[in-house]
Amino acid sequence: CKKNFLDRTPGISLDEDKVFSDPVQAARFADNAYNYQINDYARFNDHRGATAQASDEAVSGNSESSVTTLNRGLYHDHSNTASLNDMRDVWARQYAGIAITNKMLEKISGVPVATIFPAARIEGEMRFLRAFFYFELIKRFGGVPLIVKSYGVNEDINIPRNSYEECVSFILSDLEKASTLLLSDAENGDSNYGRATKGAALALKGRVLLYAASPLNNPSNDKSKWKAAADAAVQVMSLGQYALQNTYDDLLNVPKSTEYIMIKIRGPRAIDGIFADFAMSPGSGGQQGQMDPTENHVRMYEMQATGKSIDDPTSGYNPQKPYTGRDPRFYANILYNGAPWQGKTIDTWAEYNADGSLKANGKDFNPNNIIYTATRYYCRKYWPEVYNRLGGTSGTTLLNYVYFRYAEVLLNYAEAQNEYLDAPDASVYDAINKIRQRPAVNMPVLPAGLNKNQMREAIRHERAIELAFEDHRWYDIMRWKNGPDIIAKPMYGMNVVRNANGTFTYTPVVLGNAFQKVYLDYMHRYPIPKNEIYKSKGVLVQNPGW
Amino acid sequence: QTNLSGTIKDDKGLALPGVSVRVKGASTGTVTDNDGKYSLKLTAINPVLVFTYIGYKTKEVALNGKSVLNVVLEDDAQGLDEVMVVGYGTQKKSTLTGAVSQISSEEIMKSPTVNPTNSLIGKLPGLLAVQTSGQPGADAASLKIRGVATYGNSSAIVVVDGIERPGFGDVDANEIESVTILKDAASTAIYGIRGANGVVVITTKSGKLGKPKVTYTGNISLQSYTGLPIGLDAYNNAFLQNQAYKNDNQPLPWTDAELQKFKDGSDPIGYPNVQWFDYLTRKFYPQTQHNINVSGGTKIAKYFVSAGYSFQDGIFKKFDSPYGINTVPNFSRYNFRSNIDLTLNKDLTVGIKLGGRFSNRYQPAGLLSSSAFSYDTIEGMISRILQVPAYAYPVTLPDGRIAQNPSVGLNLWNPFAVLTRYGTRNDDNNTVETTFNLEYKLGFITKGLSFKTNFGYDSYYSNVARRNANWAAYVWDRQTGAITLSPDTRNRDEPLGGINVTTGGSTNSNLQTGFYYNRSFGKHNVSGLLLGIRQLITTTSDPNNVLFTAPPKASQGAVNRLTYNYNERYFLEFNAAYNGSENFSSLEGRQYGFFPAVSAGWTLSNEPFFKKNPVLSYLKLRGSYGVVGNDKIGDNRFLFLTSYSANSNVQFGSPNSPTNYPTIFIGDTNLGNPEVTWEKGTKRNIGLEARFFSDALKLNADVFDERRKDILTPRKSGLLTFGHSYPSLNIGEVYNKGYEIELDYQGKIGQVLFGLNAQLSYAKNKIISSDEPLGIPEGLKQEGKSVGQFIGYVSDGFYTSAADVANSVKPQGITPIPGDLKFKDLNGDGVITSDDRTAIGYSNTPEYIYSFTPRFSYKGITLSVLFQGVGHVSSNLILNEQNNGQQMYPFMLNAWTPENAATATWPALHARGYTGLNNALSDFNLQNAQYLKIRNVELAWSLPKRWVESLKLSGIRVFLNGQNLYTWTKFKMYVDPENLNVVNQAFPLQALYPSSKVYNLGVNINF
Repeated sequence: CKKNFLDRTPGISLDEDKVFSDPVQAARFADNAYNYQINDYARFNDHRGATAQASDEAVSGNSESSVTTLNRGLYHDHSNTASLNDMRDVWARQYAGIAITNKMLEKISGVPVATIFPAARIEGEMRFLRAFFYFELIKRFGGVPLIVKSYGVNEDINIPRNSYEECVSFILSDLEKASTLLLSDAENGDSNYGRATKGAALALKGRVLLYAASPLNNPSNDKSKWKAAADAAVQVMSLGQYALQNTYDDLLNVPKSTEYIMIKIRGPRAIDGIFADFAMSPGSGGQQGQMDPTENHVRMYEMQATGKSIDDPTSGYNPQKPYTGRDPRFYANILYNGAPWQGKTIDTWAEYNADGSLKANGKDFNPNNIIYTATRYYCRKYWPEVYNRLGGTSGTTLLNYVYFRYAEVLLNYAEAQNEYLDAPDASVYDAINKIRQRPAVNMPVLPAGLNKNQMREAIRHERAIELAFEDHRWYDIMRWKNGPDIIAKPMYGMNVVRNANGTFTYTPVVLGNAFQKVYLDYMHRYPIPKNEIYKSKGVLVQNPGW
Repeated sequence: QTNLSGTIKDDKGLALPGVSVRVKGASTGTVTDNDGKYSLKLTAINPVLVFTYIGYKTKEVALNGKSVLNVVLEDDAQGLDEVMVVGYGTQKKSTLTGAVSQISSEEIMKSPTVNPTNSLIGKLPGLLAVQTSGQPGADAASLKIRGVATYGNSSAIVVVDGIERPGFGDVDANEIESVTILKDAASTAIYGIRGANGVVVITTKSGKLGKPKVTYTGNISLQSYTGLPIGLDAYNNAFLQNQAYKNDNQPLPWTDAELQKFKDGSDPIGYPNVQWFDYLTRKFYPQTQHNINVSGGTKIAKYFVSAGYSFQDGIFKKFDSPYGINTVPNFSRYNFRSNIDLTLNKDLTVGIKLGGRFSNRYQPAGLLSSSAFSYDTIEGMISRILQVPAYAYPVTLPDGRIAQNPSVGLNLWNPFAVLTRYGTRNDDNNTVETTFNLEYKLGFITKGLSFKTNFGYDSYYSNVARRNANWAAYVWDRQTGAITLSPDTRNRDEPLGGINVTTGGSTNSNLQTGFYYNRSFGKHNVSGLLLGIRQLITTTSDPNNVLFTAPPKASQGAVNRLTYNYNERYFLEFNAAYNGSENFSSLEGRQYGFFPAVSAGWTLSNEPFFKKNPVLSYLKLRGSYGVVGNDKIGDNRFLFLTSYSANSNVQFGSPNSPTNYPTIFIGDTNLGNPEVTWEKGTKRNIGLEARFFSDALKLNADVFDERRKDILTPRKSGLLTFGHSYPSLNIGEVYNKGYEIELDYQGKIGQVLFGLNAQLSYAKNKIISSDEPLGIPEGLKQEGKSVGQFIGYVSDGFYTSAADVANSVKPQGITPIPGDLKFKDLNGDGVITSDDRTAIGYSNTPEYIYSFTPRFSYKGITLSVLFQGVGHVSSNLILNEQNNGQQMYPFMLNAWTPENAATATWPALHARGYTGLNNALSDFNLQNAQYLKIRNVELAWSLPKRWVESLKLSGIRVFLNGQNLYTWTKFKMYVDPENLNVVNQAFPLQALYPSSKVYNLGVNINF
């Protein structure tokens, strides 16, 4: 019988039955959930735009609109303009990941037994990832609709938001189960490095509980929530699998580290993208050096000798030698005028004529061109030294997106334990001092006798320095609800003037209007993407203020 | 009994073979031979003789005792006996009940354009033809019939010699007999599932009975360009830059001394003034076209054989390149055609039409890149050239090395180096279009019945070859004169590398076969056709460009037409198609659709009660109603299937050498909707045709509307919490309505013939539903507005002072300065946000299209001038100072400053990195893109016969003509609002190749 003339469909399509009746295909289906994790720093607009630029850590030198919409409080427009933004796209991407995990969890028992489909591990991974997806949602939006099963196209999915607490307990129950099903990196084996582990599940649990105990989500300051967070951190610490790495400046660039609990596995990166088009100075052949740390952030690095803030007159800070004797992490995170780099120095100075017009400028700065830094700083953490377009070919290296590293667990513990207690105990000091005394950092220990508030400041400060540019600060500020005190303050850069005799004069200056930021008291949570509200016919309720 | 003989010629003196000669009221008659001669034996005394010939006015002559009667027949190209091409056949114009417009080869040949789509602009009522680009070989006009009635694909289908084909832009205009557009349901329903956007029908020339006629047509033209946004000179640019930085309280980029150097040119290396566009482009560039064709025929074979060559040179100058790169884009095309009809016996005719062409489009080009800022297209290259400000750097350093300066802007590479050192791209296209037809008269079964087959087999092949090179550029420090190697990727000289080739193509076959019937029973005239059709298109499978691996596109079905008229007074017609496409589910009722249309006409002036009178000589009313489909649902295939895809991966293992774990997923379009179907347009049309003052004035008017339903629509109302892309649903609806009026007047004073043709078309649409979420604020909704309606802020003048800024509503998160645009707080929340936008201006599809064409002729000299314009159209092509190199434009010279606050016509300029709303789309900067152009002028002279005959030729015609000669527009950015960036919308909007102005000298010789 002759085939129907109009029957032209490719006969090889894969349908649902074929996928879940074949362990190979089913395992592939499950693995795809990892692709929905948030897994890079500069992500708002392809390889440009990072949360560090929304916070006080940095500004966007060329006023990338995915960043300035956040800076200006136009969160709704952030959703409209960027290509992988922190609102609509995160909302869509996390729910897409959730749909995969829901489907897989429903199908898991029907998949034929096979070694290629380790059902227990896969269930653990699905639960871990689902928990992670929901956590990424609630840390931005507060309580969200809990979609816990797979839906057909015609089913009504217009369900109201669950409370933040309901979401947290759902996440915790997933993580509880996951931590019993998942193995360690060693047990997973080398070829599966990067998969979810028991340690990762516990680290996530600690982070979830810390956020849940934080002022934004714990208005009555229920201390039991802090206790739970501290206990969860202890669970990770007592696994005994993780330890701080001795060095700090290569923390994102090594294939493995005792400090890594979970990272995104991604090979060495080409120069095009985040480096050439975002982090690098045009003086090294970058296209636009728009990831520009602020003076606000730079000022937070203490003096190494005294362990004191540079605002403290006894710290030993010399405003005309601002980059001498600072916390070693400063040199690991920031590129500044005079920093040795790629066999030369970073030159972000300008020299002026008597009439105030520009006479000359360093190779890494030009006041009239926004492809150079706006603050006179570049972000070394996002720019490994091998990336250099001058003189031909560039090397490549790793720039890992770290989901969890051990220092964060220590910081989480210290913060939770300090909030739980009336006054910090030795374990709080110990956790912070471990970080400060990492061999390559070797900062003085915290002064003894800090009260709870002083210790809170010290922990938050340590967190800002240790985890700088690692996608934490912005969300920390939101959960602490102190954006009005940190973000909505003047953003500074450093004016570096080269004098006729070759010396430099350093003057912190308030940056131009385009780099100043708005943070109003309702902005601790993102708005639910406006279009979702429009679609939901009143079922989804917008966050207050938006 | 007497013998009568004579010769029949046309008004140009050419003998007409095949003219029917009849004695009125008798059955006696004959036809003229190849030399236009006839002879006839007459029995009646002083009879009246009737001469009829298709395309000419019928003539009746009383013999009055003569024995030799030579007759000149007048051309009736505009007449009622004109044959109109319709779907799967032809009809006499007087019997049409649908809305159809047609122009002949003569009109097409008036435009000296290589691409015949551009000859249609302004000539066919209801056709929106817009030339969006002028790139040699890629300058076709986009063709839309009766505006747009869908927010999906709204382009009309093209039918060449009865076969649907991808286009006709590269057919040699000399091969074209007529271009017809089918507009309403009556004329398009027969195309069924594909016809809703209208149909453009091209008919190529065939041989006519007679001696071989050899015709040569040659054209030599100079092209120039209509308009481009060209920046200011170095001094003014730098001056405005200072103004911008001053506005923002930032250190000024230039000192007075530096400005002076720009002004006086005293340091052309450090402070150059290079108008790049002028430096690189030519004012005039050549174009040539040649065609020679032979046509003729005997009783057995008729033939039309044609060969053509066209060459278009491009806008850039010829520069020496160290790598041998030609810096001038160009296009050359060779066309050939052989149309042969064989009459094998009195009942059987067969024909073969063979049309082919190969073309090469060349351009200097940069790297192919997935990035939005690719130099791979000439538009991208022009865009970047236009962004390099005049002050940027000299062309070369004094020693000849390429100059460049990364401080000017991102990737603003030396345009001279881009042209001479970046690479080449050649696009080759080979096409062979073959049409076989056969007609077998079945008069032995019943009179008027015939069997016809039309089979098309086409082969399209394209090949893109790219080569790339690189150059070392050097930075000259303005202050110190130090020279350093450019720090970006332009850091080494590298000659042209290997050839990178991608190929594509398709083979299309199309079969139509069935029965035609045409017969008169007294005053009752009946015709009809019933055909089976099949189409198969085998094409490449993107994105890998592997030839012929994608599932072929197939469609099949049956089409039917029945017409009836009573004594050319009452007309009734039924058209229908039942057809299906492979792209829809084979579930019952999903794959095939039925598209019927009924239409009727009434020629009042043929009624007995209609008194012949000198004012109104002809009056006809007609109307149609029907449903037509549109199956162009994007390029998506098999949307009815749900399938999992297997081509993404996730990595695990050692970060330095991770393992790719393949994954499978449901892709964005992979969740199937078995109900996916085609769009359906319900079209209504009422037409009126009238002639006044003894046919001197002709009027055609049509009023139409269309309700397009089932437009495939992405689920805008579907919640993202679902986690997958929703399958698109056929739930969109658009309503479109409008009218067309055409007036033609022909007069005569002495020996001067003069006339005027005027056309006006209007179409406006409204989105009825597009699945928008209910809660969207009214102003931001697409529903209720036209497709492509611009939405933006509503301006309220400039902020006049700091106090005005303080007291006025402001955009969120920024503090404007005096001179910034002030906007209206439409939602009254005290702050300007994106919710304060609403519909502004129009869309970029014009609602009004009009033209008027005065024409004159005196003896052998003719002159016609086509004015053509559009109205109710907007353009969001807006230039501002925030571009890469802060290129400034002349209109910015009147930007707001405190000094000119009262007269400023542009908001205050800002330093780069400005985050305010001056450049957001608003009614202030949205451009009124209406224009009126002198689209075409032709002055032609047919040399007197005696001169021609002394050269042993039968005719010489020389002509001067021009295209796009002058533009009137309010468009502020430059002079040609017709050009749009359609190649790469992500690119800055000035990425376009301007349309050519063409000044042409041509000659047409009949041997």
